[in-house]
Amino acid sequence: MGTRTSFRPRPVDANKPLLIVRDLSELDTQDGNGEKPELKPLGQPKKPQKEIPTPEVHFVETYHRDYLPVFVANQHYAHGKGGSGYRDDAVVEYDLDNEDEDWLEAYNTGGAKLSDTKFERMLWKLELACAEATEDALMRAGASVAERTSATALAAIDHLGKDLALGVLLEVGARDVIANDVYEYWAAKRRRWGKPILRRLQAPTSASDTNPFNVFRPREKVNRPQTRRRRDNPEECMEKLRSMQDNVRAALGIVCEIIRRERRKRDLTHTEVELQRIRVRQRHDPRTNGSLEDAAQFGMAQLKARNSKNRELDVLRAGGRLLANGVRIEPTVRPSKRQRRPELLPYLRQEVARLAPPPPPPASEEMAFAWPISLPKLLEQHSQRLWRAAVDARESAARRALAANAEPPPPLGPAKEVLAGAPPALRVPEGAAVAGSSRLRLGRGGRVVLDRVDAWSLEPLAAASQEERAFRQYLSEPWPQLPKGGVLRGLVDRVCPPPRVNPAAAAAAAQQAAMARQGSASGGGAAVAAAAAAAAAQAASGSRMGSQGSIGPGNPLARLPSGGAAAAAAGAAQQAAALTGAPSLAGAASLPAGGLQGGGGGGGGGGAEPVQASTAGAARPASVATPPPAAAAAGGSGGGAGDESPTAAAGGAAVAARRTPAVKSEGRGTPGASGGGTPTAQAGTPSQGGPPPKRSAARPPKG
Amino acid sequence: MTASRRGGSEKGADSEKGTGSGPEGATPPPLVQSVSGKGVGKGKRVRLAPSEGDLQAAASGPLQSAPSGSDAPVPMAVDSSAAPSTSGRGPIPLADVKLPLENNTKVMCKWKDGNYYGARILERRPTPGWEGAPDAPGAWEYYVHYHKMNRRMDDWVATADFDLATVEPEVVELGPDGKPRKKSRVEDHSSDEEHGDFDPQQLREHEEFTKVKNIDVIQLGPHEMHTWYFSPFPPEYNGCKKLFFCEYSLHFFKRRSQLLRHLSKCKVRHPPGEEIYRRDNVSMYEIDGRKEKAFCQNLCYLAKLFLDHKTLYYDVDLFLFYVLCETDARGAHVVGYFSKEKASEEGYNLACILALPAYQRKGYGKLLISFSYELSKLEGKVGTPERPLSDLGLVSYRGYWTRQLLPLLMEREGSVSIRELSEQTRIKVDDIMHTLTHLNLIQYQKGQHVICAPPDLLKRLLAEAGSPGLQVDPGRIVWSPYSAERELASYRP
Repeated sequence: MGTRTSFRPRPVDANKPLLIVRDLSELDTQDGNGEKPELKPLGQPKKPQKEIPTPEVHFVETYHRDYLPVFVANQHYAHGKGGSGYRDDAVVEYDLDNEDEDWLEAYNTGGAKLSDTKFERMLWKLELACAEATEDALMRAGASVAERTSATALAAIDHLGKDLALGVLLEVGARDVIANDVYEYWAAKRRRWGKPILRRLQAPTSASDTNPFNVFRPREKVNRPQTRRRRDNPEECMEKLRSMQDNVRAALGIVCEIIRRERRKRDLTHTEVELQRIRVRQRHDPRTNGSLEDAAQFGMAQLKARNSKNRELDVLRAGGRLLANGVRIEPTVRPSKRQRRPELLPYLRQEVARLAPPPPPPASEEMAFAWPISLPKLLEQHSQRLWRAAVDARESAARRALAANAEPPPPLGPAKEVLAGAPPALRVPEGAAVAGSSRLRLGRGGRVVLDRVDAWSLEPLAAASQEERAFRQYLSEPWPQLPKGGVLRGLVDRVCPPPRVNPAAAAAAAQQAAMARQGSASGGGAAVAAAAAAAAAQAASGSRMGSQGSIGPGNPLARLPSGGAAAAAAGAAQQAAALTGAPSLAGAASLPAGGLQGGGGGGGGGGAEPVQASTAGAARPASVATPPPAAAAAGGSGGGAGDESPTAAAGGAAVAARRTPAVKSEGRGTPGASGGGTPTAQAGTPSQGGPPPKRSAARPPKG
Repeated sequence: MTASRRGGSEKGADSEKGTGSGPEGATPPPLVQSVSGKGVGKGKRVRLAPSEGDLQAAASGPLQSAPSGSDAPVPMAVDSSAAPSTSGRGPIPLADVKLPLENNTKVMCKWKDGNYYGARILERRPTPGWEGAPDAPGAWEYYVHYHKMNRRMDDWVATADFDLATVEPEVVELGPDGKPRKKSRVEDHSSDEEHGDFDPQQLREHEEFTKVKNIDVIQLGPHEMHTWYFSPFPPEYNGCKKLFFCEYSLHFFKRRSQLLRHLSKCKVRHPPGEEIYRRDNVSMYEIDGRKEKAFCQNLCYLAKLFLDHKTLYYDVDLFLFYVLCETDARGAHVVGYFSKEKASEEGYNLACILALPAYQRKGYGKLLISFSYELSKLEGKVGTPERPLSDLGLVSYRGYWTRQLLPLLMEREGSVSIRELSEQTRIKVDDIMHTLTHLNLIQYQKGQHVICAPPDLLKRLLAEAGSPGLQVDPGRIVWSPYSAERELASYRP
């Protein structure tokens, strides 16, 4: 306390919080050598206040006449280079000074008539012409910048020949005599001044000039060591700069390539990781070995999707555009004038393009496996496979029998499986498969195992489900309202012309569909309706096989074929589902609600019941997301009544429920979703029966 | 600087002014007049004078002199006997006085308030338009500096204004080598009040060069203003007493006819550059010295007339000018400005600041200061005015700092570090330290520093710091910090 440090405080540390004392009595008055802090500070000694005089100011009487109230302030802030006038060429920069005025007065009394404004303009033009001539001459002589801006160089007037000068003056509109006199006056004044008379053209004070009356020197950093010599060889410098530019460009290219390579590496790593997972899964899950290839395919599909996404992003990053139908437009292609119309422009932006559905995935059956594999799907896969084997066996038996009769086998349409009856499906407790942080799988001995962590990566499954959720949200987000009218249609049509629809077939299909609806409504004619639907589907699919999937959102023309395509796809069951293998918004849900024969009872409220389509439904990520686990159902009957079903089950038409912006449906076969489809496709819906009798999907049907 | 040489009588009214003592009572502090000697185009003055000297002086200053309170410049009421006594020599007899008087003669001279003050002749010249005998008393007029008054009071006077009984010729003292010894003229400015922390050598050079005010009066817009200081106008303007400034482009002319001719051509009714702030009829324009060289140079010529320690040595390229305007039906009238380096290595957010005389004492100076800090806030940088500060600048800035810091201290509970205060106000740490120390709010307690902030004391100090003047509304500033890259990208020669 009594030490020296107590009254020689350390400097205040700016970073250290200082206590704020509100009450002075809290201060320790016994501190140090007993000095009371209150005495030292706080009562600030009063000092005489400095009086600052204000310079005398008087009002100028003529002000109101000199300056006119013509200014109108803009609503917004004044902007730009001083408005009109500061850079206006029409404004004569030069202002006459006393000398000029006096001379002009004397000159005019001599009989000549020269107005002051004209005189001003003449002097100004002379100055400009002289400066230009001097600059030209020095440039031709190869003078450096420093030489060109030196005071002596700028003072010279002999670069502007008299004839030239007189020409300039005559342009202003002076008579010969006056021009000559003005030139003589100007030349004399220039010589007397030894510098341009227009202040803007005067040489700046040289940096080495120490006369304090000369002002506005160019400023140089004095404290910077002058390690470089002045650049005085612009040619070489330019070459150097050019080569440097080349180098930088090359480096940029290399870096881009490196980035690409690293991306590939990353993808490769992802692939290997997937592969490892699949291997491990194969090893640990021998029971599901049937789905090993599926799993591998699934992994591949996922990887493909990811890579394709990466490629798309590359396109977008490079400034290109992606159209809804997957067409890529190079960044160099400018949208045409029609496309740049304001109502269309927002949809050509990259953000929208990014949201646009990716190109249709390869139509492979295995693509039907959706993300992440869940128990019901696996089981469905399994049962379906068994069921298909049974169908195949049956068919081959039939073929054999036919071959024995030397007759060709009846051609099987694309809807063969549908016609043959839908596969049975498992029923899983609701919500179990998607409990968020857990995943169901079939363990050894047929046990159902609930995983909380991924068995191989040991990551909590929450991450996967989050990803899934994000994806689901992505799917369920409404599309921006697209412009009505022909603009967008025209655009899409041009990029991807609509396929030809056989009008006759379509009409027939529509007619039959209408009939089918009537039939089902009456409740009795289920079989008739089913047959009609099947016929319609065939007709439509026949007319436009292969156009599926390339449907732009909101394209009314494309919608009709889409239904047909979906119907066809339903025929090749997974094929339709493949539409949704990629994170596609334009997925078509096909509902092979087959096998509704007789037992279905023709279906009073059938359409209202959310029907979970077994295969196709599971294939769609959207439906995986929230499975009302569904009376997937229908298929179960296929096994039992398989033999007599072929015609009756024709009701297995596909509902291609397109997600449209207006109808925010999951495409799950609800009435709303069906509404998005075509009349053709709808034909199938009413023909579905009510909730079919629940069967144990664990018992695969026997052929 | 020269305190040790001062007699007791001089240590009066003004000896403390150099320290920029806090304003007294509730009277508003003086409007900022000149802040910095390092203005536009100012050379790199390396010495950044520390302010400790001020603080020490503040702690030990005598208090006997009351403020005069008059509107007139305080004539430092030195009684007539005091001035001669400082030099130790008496006046010569009246009979020995020879006209015209030589330069550097000391003599009592009548000031415009009618009293006689000690003065020194700086310059003389034949009276313009004098028709009488060349040796008559009226044939010459003299430029005098009043003893211990600010140089802004220097003026041309006639012989009749002198009290010739007090003439005291300059005595050339011979040094040991027989040559006339250089007299230090700083003693005439013994109260180095208005020079802030300049060193004597430079001060002497500066005063020699700006000894005689060249322009007496300017006319700018509706106002005719008397000037204060020398300004290095181009040589064509030598000998000119009155200049006519165009209110918009700030071009200056010797005759009114020239101004009118120019006005008929001048189309713009506001400064060039970008308007970055507008509130009611007050606007702020940002002008790039490189792009609008003519305007900015004109502005510098004009400002120098009212700023002592501003030099126009260097060009305006490296500065941005923020010109404050009042707008009415006749356009935008320049009220004041401050300049700012485009890229300051030392973290300065302001170089020179001026409110034109016609608009002084209206709070515009405070507006300019707080605007400079608002820009610093937008930049996210801590800023400080360029050093050295003049006395008046110091007072104004201290007022601003006080008004910014004390409310924070009032609200704040517990503890606060100087750095935090700096982050919030964008006032440099050193300046905060300086302010708090100056107000004696930082105390040393038990080995650590504390901030004393009793509410009543803070309130009193705030009241003493004066009104905040015109307030800046930060929401109306439309501005982005200067970016050399952006400028280069849009550069067109």
